[in-house]
Amino acid sequence: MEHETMENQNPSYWTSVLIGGLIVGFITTIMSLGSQYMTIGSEPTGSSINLTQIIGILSCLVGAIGGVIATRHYAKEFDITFPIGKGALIGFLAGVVAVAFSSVIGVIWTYLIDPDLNQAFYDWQIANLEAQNMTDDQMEMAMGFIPKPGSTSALIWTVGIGLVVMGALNAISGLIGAKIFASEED
Amino acid sequence: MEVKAQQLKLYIPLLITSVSLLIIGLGPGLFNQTTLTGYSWQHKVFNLLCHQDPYRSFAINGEPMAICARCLGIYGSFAFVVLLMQLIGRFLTVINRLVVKLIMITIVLNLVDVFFNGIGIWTNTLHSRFLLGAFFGGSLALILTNEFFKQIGNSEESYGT
Repeated sequence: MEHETMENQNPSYWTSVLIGGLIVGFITTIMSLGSQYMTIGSEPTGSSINLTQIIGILSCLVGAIGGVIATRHYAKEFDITFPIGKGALIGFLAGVVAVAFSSVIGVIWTYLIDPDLNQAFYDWQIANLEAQNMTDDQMEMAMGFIPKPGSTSALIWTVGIGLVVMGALNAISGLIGAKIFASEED
Repeated sequence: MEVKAQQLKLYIPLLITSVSLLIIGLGPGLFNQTTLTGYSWQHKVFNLLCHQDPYRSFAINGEPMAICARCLGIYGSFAFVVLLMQLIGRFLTVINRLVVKLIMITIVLNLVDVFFNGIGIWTNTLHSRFLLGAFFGGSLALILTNEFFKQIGNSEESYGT
């Protein structure tokens, strides 16, 4: 009986975390893969801006709303209020789920479904650099920031940065979500 | 008006995170690094979060920032308000319902600006994008003020002290 009461007071937030994280992860994956296909389908012009980055402005908004979605779902589903610290935790976990989901789908896609995508995207970036008429030194420097296709370090970099930045941003959006949707104040 | 600090274990990480994001977003120019446009660790951090168009970004020491003008407004004003939260709490009574409305208004303003600029009704500038972003980021941080620095009214015990 006492156990039930405790559970009612603190229902599990994992469903909300998964919903927030998977929504964000799914959308960012679609946008990321979509932008890569759009990029390799275009002509390298030498511009430092490509379609991936232009679409990035949309994934910026999407990438940071996992915390808001998760905290809103948790508050509305159980009709409860909770402190903003819990909102930050829920948001952070939603960000981690989003990055994990996006990374797993990205690996499955580029290793099993379309193994040529990474190489094609890498070649496009090199061609784009060459179109800028850079010196060899400049080329070498720029290529240091372009991950080689299939390299483990590239994957670790991407996932590592993703976890830190998405985790932090979603923790903040979880704070704000908890304040808006789960606060006792008017 | 007196304010009471609370939840500092949450406030300090929030302050550090928001200021860190802003500093990284200011880009390689802040660190006196000379890079090729778009190729720096700061740009890499925000690669998936911002379009990073150098023509739509402010520059420091000739180096474009790692975030665009609108994002600079968002991160900058958020960090600024978080930093000054105690002071804001002293002089401003934050009413949640009003701040939520303010957030909604700033979201709409930004979307309208992006849309009308996109279809050519008007052309926004670095400064206009920065200001609209700043309204949004600032209002987001404002709603958290009560949580960390709660106003306490003058109680009977404090009269005459």
